[in-house]
Formats: sequence, structure tokens, C-alpha cells
Amino acid sequence: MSMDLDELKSAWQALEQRVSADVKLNRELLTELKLRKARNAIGWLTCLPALELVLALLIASATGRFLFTHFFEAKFAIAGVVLHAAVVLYIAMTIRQIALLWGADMSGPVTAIQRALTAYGAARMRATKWVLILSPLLWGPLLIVVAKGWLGLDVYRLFGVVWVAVNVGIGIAMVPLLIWVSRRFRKALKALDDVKSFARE
Amino acid sequence: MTANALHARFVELLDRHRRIVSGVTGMYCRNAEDRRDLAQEISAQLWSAFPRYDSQASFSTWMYRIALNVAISYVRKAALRAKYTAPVNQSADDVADPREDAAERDDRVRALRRFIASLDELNRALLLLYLEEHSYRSIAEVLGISETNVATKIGRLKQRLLDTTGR
Repeated sequence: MSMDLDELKSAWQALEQRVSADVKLNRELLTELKLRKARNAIGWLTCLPALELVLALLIASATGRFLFTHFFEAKFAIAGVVLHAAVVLYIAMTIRQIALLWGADMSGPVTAIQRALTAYGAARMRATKWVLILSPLLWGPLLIVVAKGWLGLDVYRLFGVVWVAVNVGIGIAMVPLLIWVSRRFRKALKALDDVKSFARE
Repeated sequence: MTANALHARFVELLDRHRRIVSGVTGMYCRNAEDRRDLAQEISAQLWSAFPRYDSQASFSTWMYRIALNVAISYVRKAALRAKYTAPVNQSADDVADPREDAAERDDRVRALRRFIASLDELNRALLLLYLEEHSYRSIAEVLGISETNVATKIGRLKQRLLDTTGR
């Protein structure tokens, strides 16, 4: 059937009349709303990155302390620097996520809020992607730092330098595979482009 | 304003503008259960934002913005869930209640449904405001784009409808 946008209006009125019966806001819901503690949807979204930030800061202080203690022992210092740099990078990405939602609320213009929400989604995806790509590379330094820092054990002496080198090699070999897997995250970036182009055109 | 007075004022305004909630839920959800869920979510968000509502501003603009932002987020979340639970190529907002489709005797309403399903979330918001006969200025204010942009996009929607329905 063919129609133009103005004919669509009468069809819309017919449809709207029917669907309005489904969404009658009942007295129970309105009473419940009165009792419910106000929980802003966007404020709620920042809880998870805020929690991750606190955790990452605690880890950064531990790796920083490790680095300070073992700064002149190259075999530990290198592992410490790599791990500390990764945690600092993660902190920066988490702060960016929180900043994207800072000050936004659902009563803002639709394109602005959707841009903030999709940019936040894309930033989270990017952070997950980097964690995925870097995790096999960080496994070796993590083991070295945790074993030395917490248990006082020297992994180089315990397992041998060859074992450490093989672990680093496996980590490097896995990076191309994980980059390929992380291509799935491109969709999140496309959603952001869609919102931007809607506002721009 | 006391908590009771605030709630009473909110209920009164919500009741006066309840068409906004039914319009938004009708635009973004095809089955009755989803419409009810979305209406509850919108009401909850309106209530949580109400203490910050500036009474100098238009209530309907404020309400449309929240309702549309909540609806778009709801549909995106549902689409993500459906990606892992529904058959391929079927997103949650496309899932119609079969009884409703059977009851849909009006060809024009069916064509409208198809047209809505072919649009992305932001163009649905634009179409809703156009169908509810808002001015270009009001549409621009709700969506946060320029009036010229609104006019261009409505022109494109008209063309797309003509292409889709073959007139």
C-alpha cells in the first residue's frame, strides 16, 4: 500500500489510540514511584567505572610501591614499569569514561545525551579491547611482581629465565589473534558515528 | 515544596501529558508487554529527574527528552539482549505480538509499522515529533539539532516513505 507522510498521521492516530490503553499509568506504580529513592539512570551508569577507578588506584599504589622498592634491580624494575604503565593507562581510560557522562542527564537534548551514552559505550568497549589485547603480555610481569612483592619469591630463579622468555614470547604471539578478535568491537564505534552524523547533517 | 506536594504535582503533570508516554512507547515497542515495561521505566526516570525540573521551561519538551532518551537506551539494550537470545536478524523492537498483527486490519497502520521498523532510533524520534504535529523549532529543541536540519531530515523521511511504499 502506498502513502505519504501526511497520510501517515491518521494511521499514527489510530495506532496511538490503541497502544495508549496498554500504558495506563496505574495508581500502584505512581505510589511506588513516590517511595522509590530517586536514581538517575546516568548517575547509576557511572557507578561501575567509579568502582573500577578505586580498584585501579589501589593497584597503581601497590605497583608504584613495588617500583620504588626495586627501582635499581633491572629484572624487577622492568616488570614493575610495564605493569604500572598498564594500570596508569587503565586509570586514564576509566577517568575518560566517567568524564563522558559527567554532567549529562536524561533531560538533555536527545542527540547530545545519545552521543554521550554511545561515546561512553565505545570508550568501555575500547578499554575492554585493550585489556584483552594486553593481558597475555602482562601475564609475565604480573607474575614477577606479585611473586616478589607479596611472597618474596624470585620468579627468574624459581622457573628460570628461559621460562620467563617463553611466556613473554607466547604473549607477543597471541597479540595478532586478540587484535582479530577485538574487531567485533567496531560496531560500538559505528553507533557513535551514526549519532554524530544525525546531529551534523 | 514537601515530598507529598511534589509527588502530587508530578502525578498531575504526568497525567496531563500521558499521551507523550503512550506515543513514545508506541513508536519504540511493538508488543504490549514491552510498552508497559518501557512506560514504567520512563515514569521512573521522569520521577527521579523531577526535582531538577525548571518550571520556567516547557514541561512537554522536558518530558519528551527524557522519554525519548530512555526509550532509545531501552531499545538498544533490548537489541543487545536479543542479539544473544533471538533468532538471527530479529531485534527486540521488531518482535511483534502475533495476536496484535492478526488484529491489525488497517492497512495503513500496518504500513506505518513497517515504515517505523525500517528507521533507526533517532529518525523514529523525529518521526514521532512530526506525527504529533510539533513545530520545527520544538522538534529542534527536543532533539538538539538545528531547525534547518529538522526540515532536511523530514524531507528525507518523506522521500524514503514514498520510495518504501512505491508511490
